[in-house]
Amino acid sequence: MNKIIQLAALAAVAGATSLQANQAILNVSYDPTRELYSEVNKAFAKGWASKTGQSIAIDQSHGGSGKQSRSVVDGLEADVVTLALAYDIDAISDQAGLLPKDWQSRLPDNSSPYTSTIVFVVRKGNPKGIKDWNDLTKDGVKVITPNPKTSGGARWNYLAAYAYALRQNGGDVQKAKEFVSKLYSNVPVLDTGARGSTITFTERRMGDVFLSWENEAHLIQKQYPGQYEIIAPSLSILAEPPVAVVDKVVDRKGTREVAQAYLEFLYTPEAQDIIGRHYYRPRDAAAAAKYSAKFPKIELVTIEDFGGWRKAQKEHFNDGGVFDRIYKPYRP
Amino acid sequence: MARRAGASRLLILNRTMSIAIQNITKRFGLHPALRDVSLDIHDGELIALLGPSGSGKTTLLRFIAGLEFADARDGRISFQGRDVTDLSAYQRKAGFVFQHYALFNHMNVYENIAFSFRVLPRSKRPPESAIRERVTELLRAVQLEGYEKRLPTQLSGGQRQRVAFARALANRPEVLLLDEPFGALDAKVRKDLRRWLREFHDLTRLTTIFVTHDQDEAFEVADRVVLIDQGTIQQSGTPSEVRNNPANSFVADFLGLTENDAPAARTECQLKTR
Amino acid sequence: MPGATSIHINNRQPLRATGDSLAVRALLIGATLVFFLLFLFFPLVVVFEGAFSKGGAAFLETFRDPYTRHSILLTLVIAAISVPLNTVFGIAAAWCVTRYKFRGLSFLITLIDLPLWVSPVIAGLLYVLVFGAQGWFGPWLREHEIRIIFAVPGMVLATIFVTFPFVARGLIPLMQAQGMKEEEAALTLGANGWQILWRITLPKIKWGLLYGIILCNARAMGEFGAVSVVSGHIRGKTNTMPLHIEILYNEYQFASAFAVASVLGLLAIITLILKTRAEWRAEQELRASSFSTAP
Repeated sequence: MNKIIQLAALAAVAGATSLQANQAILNVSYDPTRELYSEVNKAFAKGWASKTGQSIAIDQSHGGSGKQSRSVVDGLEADVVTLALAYDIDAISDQAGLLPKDWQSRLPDNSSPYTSTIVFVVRKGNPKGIKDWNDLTKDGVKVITPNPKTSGGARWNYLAAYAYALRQNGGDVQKAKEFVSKLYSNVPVLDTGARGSTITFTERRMGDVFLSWENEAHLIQKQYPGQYEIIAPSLSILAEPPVAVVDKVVDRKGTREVAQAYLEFLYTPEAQDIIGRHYYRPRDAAAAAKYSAKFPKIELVTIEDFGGWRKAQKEHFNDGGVFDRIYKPYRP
Repeated sequence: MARRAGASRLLILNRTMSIAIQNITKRFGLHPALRDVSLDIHDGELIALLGPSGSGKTTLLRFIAGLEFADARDGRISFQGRDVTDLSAYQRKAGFVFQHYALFNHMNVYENIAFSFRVLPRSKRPPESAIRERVTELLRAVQLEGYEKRLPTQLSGGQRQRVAFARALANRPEVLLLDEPFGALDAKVRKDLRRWLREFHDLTRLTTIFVTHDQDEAFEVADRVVLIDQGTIQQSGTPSEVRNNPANSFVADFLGLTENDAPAARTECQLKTR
Repeated sequence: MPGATSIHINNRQPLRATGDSLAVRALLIGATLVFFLLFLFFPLVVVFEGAFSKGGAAFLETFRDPYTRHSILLTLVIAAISVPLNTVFGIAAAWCVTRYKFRGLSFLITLIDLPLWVSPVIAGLLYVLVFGAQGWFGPWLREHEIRIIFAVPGMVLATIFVTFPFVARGLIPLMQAQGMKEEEAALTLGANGWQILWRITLPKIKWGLLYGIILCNARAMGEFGAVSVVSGHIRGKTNTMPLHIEILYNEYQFASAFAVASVLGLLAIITLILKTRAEWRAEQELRASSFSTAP
């Protein structure tokens, strides 16, 4: 009798979403996109239902981009991945062969329906007077940023700082390494994902400056009105968070059509408007114009300046890379 | 009076049997507990296994019950000519009274005594009325009428001892085995129970083996005394045979006799016993 | 026999034997109390305060959210599967350890303790290594369409692993102290193995067993690390209460996070009360057994 109750409960849990919807797909995403996709999903499901008559449930999983990538490699059945940077999808292709190597050419704009960049968040009144990257290496400034090993945003942070240092020192690699080394010696704690760092900076009130996704910076201002200021540095990096259908998974589950439609939906004016509203920089010209006031003009380097993600990852973030060599745990 | 009447009815219900033990060896790790022991026990005998602690006497008793098994395959044991070597304790159903009684503390006296019926397969289980009758009869025999509802923790040591007796006898075992049955009781109760056991045996002639380290107890109660030391039987005989003719220096020493002044020691011993 | 019991009761009163001065005692008790207040009691108060920070209506609103409801249901389901299984495993393990002597016995005892020594995160990773897509059984499992990691079965496995020692650990000392004379007595009275287990052993250990089950259940419902690794964090599918609390907290829904946390906190308090009661009864169980087995 108990067994029957247990099985029934288990079936209820296992079938919870499928009971509500004809089909379910899983979007495995990075940390700060929680709010964005909860709105995108609603819009897409509505459109899909009116077009096909089928109800669709989109399940979400969020975490540090690198960690999420690893989970998909280990078997998390993502129909689509929407991660912080291309390398994390490359890794799924390289290590698990779940999608072809040329995945990034399958959708427009390097498969990135929006861009973003890295900005600084400081406490109200900017008490430490932080204006640009070189202020972050000063003594007594505490910098909050997540761990580049597990977080996508953290890798963009690191590369933006590195690009700034190269520019300042006329391309001197040694000086650039010294610069980021100095910067990371001011980091008291490395969270695994961007959202963790946000909480560290806002709720736990640690640090003087938070290196943040632009969208996350605006979200902080919304959550804590009047408590934080956004500082745009002189130079930053063009972040292109890419999206991809995971071929092996959709083919096995028979969800290719809806998964493909879901990603294409991200490029539509409707979705681009949602994207802009959530402080991501839209690709669509109309949406970009509509929200342009929110996005300061910053000079942006791109990942191509680092020779692409595979090269940058290998050089800087893999075991034994530059980050491992320059990072010494913070000592107050 | 009631005790006698109860016991005599038990007599009628019992068959007699004999036990044959051949070439038993048992080790615990490297320590030999029994070395090539053979022993015949006759119908209706009351036997004491006597020896110092660690001599192997309790191991021998547990072996008879089926709670221990011999090491070598050539050791055999039979009840009434029936080979029971490979039967486990629950198939042999020897009545066993444990040193500290091992009553079931979560069951009342009635359920303790009825236990051996409760575990029978349904086809063999007597009706509840028959069980009740048997339990009442046993309680009368051990003078504990009216104690059915008590829990073991609510009884004195001597009362627990008697419940343990009644429980062991309930399903009419072919043999009654007692491990230091009086060891945990105070002197007065012990004396009473000794006498009771002797009388009970005289009435029922149920083959009974008890283990003791107390020679007074062995000599007062038993028909035959088996002296055990270091896993071997040193001597077996009636109390007077053993006392008058100790087989070796161990027996003489253990009984407090020395070979030189045996008669004197014997008198002393008798004085102590009686 | 009365002598035997009184010896045991005397053994239970060693309280005044240490000879510490009054000042030392006051200091120790005071330090313990301060520690208890600072690190256990106040955080619990904060949780309940946070839960109601936006009022009772907001508190109730949290539990109307389907994701929250699902996380509670999933937590209950995982506990409902892993606790009974661990109860059976625990009894079997305690039985083996206390009833038989065999080669490798001490190794088995070490194995029972293993989940207490291993970090739960490592335990989760072990399951990923074994059942993950790149793991030993990964290809075979995919071929047969069996999902373990990032699905409920994996979370159940991880929970079973982490909560395995509690029942066995609770029973082993009790069963060792009780000995097996009563089981032997039942054997000579004609009871077979199952009858002994049901009629003698289980009634003897029932409070100790309950104590173990309560601890096991508390841990099963509260487990974060191991379950987090194998969950995949799919909302509405593989989030248990602790994981859901983290998500709510990370989404600035602090009142909701604390509201769900307060349910776990409440569970902890109920557990504590039940545990204390079971512990007390288990003590009595042990004491009762000393009537029949003490020398």
